Amino acid sequence: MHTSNSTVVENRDLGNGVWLLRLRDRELAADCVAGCFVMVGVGVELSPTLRRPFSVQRVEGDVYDILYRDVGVGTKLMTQLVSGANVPVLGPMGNSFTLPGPEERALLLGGGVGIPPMVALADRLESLGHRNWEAHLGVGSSKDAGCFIGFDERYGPETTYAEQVHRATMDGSVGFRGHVVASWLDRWERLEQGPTGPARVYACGPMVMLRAVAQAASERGLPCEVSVETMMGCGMGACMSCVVESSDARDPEKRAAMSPYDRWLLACRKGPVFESSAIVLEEGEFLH
Amino acid sequence: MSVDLSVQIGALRPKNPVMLASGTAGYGPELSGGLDMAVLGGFVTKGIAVHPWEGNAPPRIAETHSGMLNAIGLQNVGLEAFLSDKVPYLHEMRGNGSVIAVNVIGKTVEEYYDVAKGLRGCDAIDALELNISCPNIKEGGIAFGTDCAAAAEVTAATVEGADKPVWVKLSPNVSNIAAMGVACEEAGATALSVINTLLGMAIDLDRRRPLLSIGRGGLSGPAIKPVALRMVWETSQACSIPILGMGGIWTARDALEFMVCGATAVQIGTANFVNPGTAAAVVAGMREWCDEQGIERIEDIVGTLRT
Repeated sequence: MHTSNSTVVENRDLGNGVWLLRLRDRELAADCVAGCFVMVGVGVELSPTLRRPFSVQRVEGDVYDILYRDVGVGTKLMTQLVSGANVPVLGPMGNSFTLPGPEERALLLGGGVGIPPMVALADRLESLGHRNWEAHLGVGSSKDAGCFIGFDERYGPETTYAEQVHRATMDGSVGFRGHVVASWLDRWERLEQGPTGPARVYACGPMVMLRAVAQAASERGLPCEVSVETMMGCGMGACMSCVVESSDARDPEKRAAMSPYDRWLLACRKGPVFESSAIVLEEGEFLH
Repeated sequence: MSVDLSVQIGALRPKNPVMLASGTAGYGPELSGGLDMAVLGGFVTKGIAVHPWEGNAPPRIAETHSGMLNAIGLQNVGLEAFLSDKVPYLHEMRGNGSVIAVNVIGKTVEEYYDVAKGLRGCDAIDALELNISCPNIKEGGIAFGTDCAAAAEVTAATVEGADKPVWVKLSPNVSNIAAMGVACEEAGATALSVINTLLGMAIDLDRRRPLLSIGRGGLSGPAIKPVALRMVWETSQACSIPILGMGGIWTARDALEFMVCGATAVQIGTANFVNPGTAAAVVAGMREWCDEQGIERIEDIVGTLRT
């Protein structure tokens, strides 16, 4: 992990509140792995207090990209960053994906601002010469098409990747009409264009999407890894806020045998990438 | 001029007054990616109970103006795993001249006693810090830290069980913190950590729901510094044992303010989450300020507030 003062190379408005932030820090960029994240300091003086976590989408030389949506006070401040500005960043943090075996087809499913880890993974697979992958990317409508930028830049419709990258919108305004799991299953089952060999599923997006992906993968006996987004205070394992529930805690026998400490897993240290069967894919529950 | 930053806390003499507060730096290694742990005057571990605790369901955190609320629920590995898995790193830190304290939690007086006893003979640690903000389940769930008699009882029991000095971390959720301090001092505490988090709430207006899973949480960060300073001042006026001051320290000047108000040492908490290097910057800034002010021994500023 580096304590970085990264320089803004570009902060581009992609429309509908989606932005691409390109930052420069040679050492931080060099240590990024597919699936990692960084903690961006957005505060002016003491507020907002905490840093914001973002997945790293792409690394090119000493520049690393973050895709973000303007949803709150912190991300609103980020939209005001101009080229040349310095931004305090901690990172990279977090684990990475289990790479597919040589014969395995990698299925990359990304939803909205959850697409970036899939970009990072596609880049990683390409760098390894593992061309056997396909991506299904979903957003609400064409207004959110900015979320596709990571794939558009390198794996666009005019490239040789056109048959590998499938875009979907809920309203059908771009690509397939429906969500990413439907896009994937449509291609694999209804159109019978799916691969016959083994495959491995990777996903990042809203919890409801991850749950659907995990279920579809499980029904087909495919290994599946998901990158989760949680409320995160520090990213370093110190504040212990960003927990997800271990699946074992929902099994009475396993629950009885495990340490209570292991019920809640830190997304920052154990994740953010988990085997989908290892964690409970539910939104946080309010007890009161 | 070389400034002497060392301070005296009972029989312990850390090389400087800057420590990391419990629950904000895990068991040590968590922050080491962003902080040279060797700069620390001291380190207080995440709270340890006699058995592991699972903690609360998420959401466990909510950001507030210049602060944050947390309701982690003291998720911890428990005494046994602490001794086997966490102590080796603490040994290493202690080798760098840092004072190591283990924060102790429990749901009954007996549980505090059992942790203290279980830590006997552990030569990686110098002191115990009692978190008395835990609910006393035998007494209907009222926190030990809001009742003088209960605080004194749990302090005395831990002192009896321990072979090391016992610091008590006071809850600010009381009307008279000085009285709490006196009660703990009389029960055998060697130092007082002032303050723990303030109980608070944050809500989602549109959904009309609390932002934290259990509704309430502990407020920390710069927002609470004025309350903390006042409580350090009041406690130091009433007690004769050293005070470890904390609550929203972000800079060396913040830390020095606590010392002038009566704290012998300070703990950095929430700032660690945002800037893990804060403690190092605070140590450097203290040295610089003392140089500018012509202060040779930092201990000389403790409690020098002119009123």
